[in-house]
Amino acid sequence: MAKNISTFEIFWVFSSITLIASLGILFIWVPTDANLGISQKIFYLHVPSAILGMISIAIVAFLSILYLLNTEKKKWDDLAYSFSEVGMVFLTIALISGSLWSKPAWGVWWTWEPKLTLTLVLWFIYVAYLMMRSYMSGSGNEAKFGSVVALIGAIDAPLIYYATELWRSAHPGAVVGPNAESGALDERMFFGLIASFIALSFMFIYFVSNRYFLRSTETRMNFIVRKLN
Amino acid sequence: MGKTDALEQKPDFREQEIGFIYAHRIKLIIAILVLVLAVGYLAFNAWDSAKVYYYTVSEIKEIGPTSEGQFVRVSGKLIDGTFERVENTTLASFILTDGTETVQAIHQGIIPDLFFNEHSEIILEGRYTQDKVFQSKNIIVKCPSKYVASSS
Repeated sequence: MAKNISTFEIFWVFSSITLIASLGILFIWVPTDANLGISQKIFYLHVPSAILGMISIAIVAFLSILYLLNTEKKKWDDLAYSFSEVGMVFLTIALISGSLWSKPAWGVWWTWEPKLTLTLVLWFIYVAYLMMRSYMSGSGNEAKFGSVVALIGAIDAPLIYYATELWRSAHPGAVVGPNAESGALDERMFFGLIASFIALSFMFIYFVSNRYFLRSTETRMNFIVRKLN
Repeated sequence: MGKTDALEQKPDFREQEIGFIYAHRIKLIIAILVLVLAVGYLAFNAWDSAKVYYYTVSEIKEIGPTSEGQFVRVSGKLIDGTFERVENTTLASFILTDGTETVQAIHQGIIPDLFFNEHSEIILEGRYTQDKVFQSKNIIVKCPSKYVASSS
């Protein structure tokens, strides 16, 4: 359990510095896209937050399995819950920034194409996970039932990544990761993306560590209340 | 001390809940079954029109005119110099191609910025009418999945 929150405060410093640095890099050094113009800058917020939102559900599922293997270890569940809340925030950022970008780039705010639809499905899985746990809270089963929802969500994440390969879609193909075409991204743009990803990752870790500290405190408090009963 | 008494009087909701679930298991299974069948039926019916996001120009030619009220999407590239706009209106006509076949299309409304980009693929939403014209309601521009630095 996180005994002292100040050990994580360093991530606040990291994320502040890297966020400011990445903004500088993105708006001064990284070139503007030839076709899309300035609206392509949304890419540096959209892609990292989508990646973090997708990775997050995989981590939630992994931690859920660890919890299911040994339900005495409440800390895995606390950590999973913290990841799910922060992951949902990042996926929401990805959806909103994507919508704002698709209006100037594609001409519509939203279209029911596979990659977008699957991302919305993942968003609803996050909502289901959090809502169900909130409704069942105190029953003692919420962690187990939540794990099942998280595992379904973890199946969705790779489908989102490969959606442009598997089905006809309007969304551009992957530019990073194993499914990316080589040369899909200008070198300086790739560097800008990495910089932005690192900055947002620090922010992500900072949020998760704070939420985990709070959550484990809640768990301990509930334990004490139960003992008093 | 008063507080502890109040807590002890609280009924154990968890035991009640589990008892309830077991007693109504048959009903629960039937309810889930009905739900699954209903969703399955809807999914089965929607499959034909939803399995692909868009048709290519050749495919829409093969399928032929769409029935009244049915929306389809067709994707292709704009042929250079085919774009015409009716004077003082937002009505435009143009020809899309997938490399082998072409389709005449008309669109009423705003044309997105990247419509005329030579790398863009254009997805039209609308109806393919009896007179072999695609009446577009919405235009979605599929931008290339390559990002290149502008030369300026």
